[in-house]
Amino acid sequence: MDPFISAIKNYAEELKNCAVWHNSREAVGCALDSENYYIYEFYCLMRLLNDLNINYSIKYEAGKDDKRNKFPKGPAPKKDRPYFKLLDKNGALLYQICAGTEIKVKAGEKTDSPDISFQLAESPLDEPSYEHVKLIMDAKYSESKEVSKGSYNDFAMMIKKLDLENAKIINIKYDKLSGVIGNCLISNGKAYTDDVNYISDDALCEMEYFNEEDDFNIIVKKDE
Amino acid sequence: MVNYVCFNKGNGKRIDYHFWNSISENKYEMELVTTNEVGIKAGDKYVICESKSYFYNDSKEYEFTVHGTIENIKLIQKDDKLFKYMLILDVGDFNLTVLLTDIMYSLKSVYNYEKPYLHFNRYYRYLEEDDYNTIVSGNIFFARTVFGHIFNALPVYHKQQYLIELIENSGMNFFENRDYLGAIELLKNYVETVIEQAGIFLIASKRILNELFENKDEIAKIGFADKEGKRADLISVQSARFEKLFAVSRENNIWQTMSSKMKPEDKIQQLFNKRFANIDWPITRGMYGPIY
Repeated sequence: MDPFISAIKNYAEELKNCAVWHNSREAVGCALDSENYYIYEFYCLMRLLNDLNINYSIKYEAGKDDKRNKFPKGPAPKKDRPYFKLLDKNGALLYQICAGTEIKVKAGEKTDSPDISFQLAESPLDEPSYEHVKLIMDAKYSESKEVSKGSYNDFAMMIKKLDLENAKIINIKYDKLSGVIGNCLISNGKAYTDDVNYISDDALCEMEYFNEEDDFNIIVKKDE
Repeated sequence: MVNYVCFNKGNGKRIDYHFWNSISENKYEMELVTTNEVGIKAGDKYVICESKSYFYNDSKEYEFTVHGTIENIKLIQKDDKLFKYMLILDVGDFNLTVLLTDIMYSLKSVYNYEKPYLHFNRYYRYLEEDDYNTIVSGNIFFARTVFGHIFNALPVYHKQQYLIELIENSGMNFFENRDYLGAIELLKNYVETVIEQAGIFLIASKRILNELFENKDEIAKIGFADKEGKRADLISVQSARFEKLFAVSRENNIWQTMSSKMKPEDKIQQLFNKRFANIDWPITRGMYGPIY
């Protein structure tokens, strides 16, 4: 028999193990239900931390009880979940960096859940509100490799609801990601627009082609 | 008209049974007991399948091992319920080594892809001439085999998403055509951009976690979980699975080899294409559910 057939069967067997999570048996994929990118979001967070580790130090807070070491697959309350601490080189806590945390918006009772949020050192560990958040980032994975208008608008609206239009005054010293200023919309493929005035009006910058193969590109309006 | 018969030489659970004895170098005698009269006659072609091992899903693997011509068949005993036959088999080829799971997507008579052995479970069954010739020649319908193995390895969620793309966006008339090459192209794209890409991100995430933090025991337990924190899926475990997948894929150069096997001008493949033009896509729901 052609050895290619057993190679295909081998590949299919391994694919079967990869395509569902080992424990929950849920499907593994980059874009599930078109709005569920938690694997890519976590990857973006890791790359961000890796970059910040040059000028700061990063500490991992594992969380507790049932949620210890377990990041949420979607929007979830902050309580007991793991997060990261951003410390200056003297060990002073600057920000908590959280993943998928629900944050109470400025007006009304609803919450928003940015994929990545920089929260003040004293931000409560259960129910933070917009006042505790200084800067947010969102990650969009698209098979077609282009951020849709809907995804862009969701993020722009989130910035408004969380009152983060001044996020660019927060001075974060990135290394390779220097150029990112304030709130950032990250995507694996092409950004929604390269019109810097348009995105500046929404108080955000874009980082496109952020993946393992390409060189990323930052789209941002520089201050005159 | 010649019949084509497949005998199962193994342990059966029905009252049908047979034994098989060598009577000379190339001749064997076989006793076959059945509950009904068989239409097998001298001159018919046969192939023998044997239970070999267990393959995935705990399903049995069968191997086709011998084929030849039935030289003689005699009814030697008959009572109320049982017919006992004695067959003399001429052995054409003793060295057939064709696994059922290798060839199942090239056989028209197989449609249970999770447990293909169920099609050959009985002591004997008739085959279509095409299927008999496929088994004996070991020819493979590459496009349908590749498509079937890879598609059916996916969980239901991915099967559905892929099929939606195939039906809505590929421009193919899914219900009329069996364009396996087109379907494979789309399947390759789906697997790469949705599943393998997730693996690339998981592997990179694991690498960075290990670079950033000292406490390896704690890092190895980092994963994702639902709102209640139940059913944790660990990045370390799943990324190790993907590393294995990528190793297999690289080692065998899967996607590139595939296209070299499926040249449109290949006569055997053309024949298969024609033969399977009206046979359903080899798609099955599979065991993972309900939604994901």
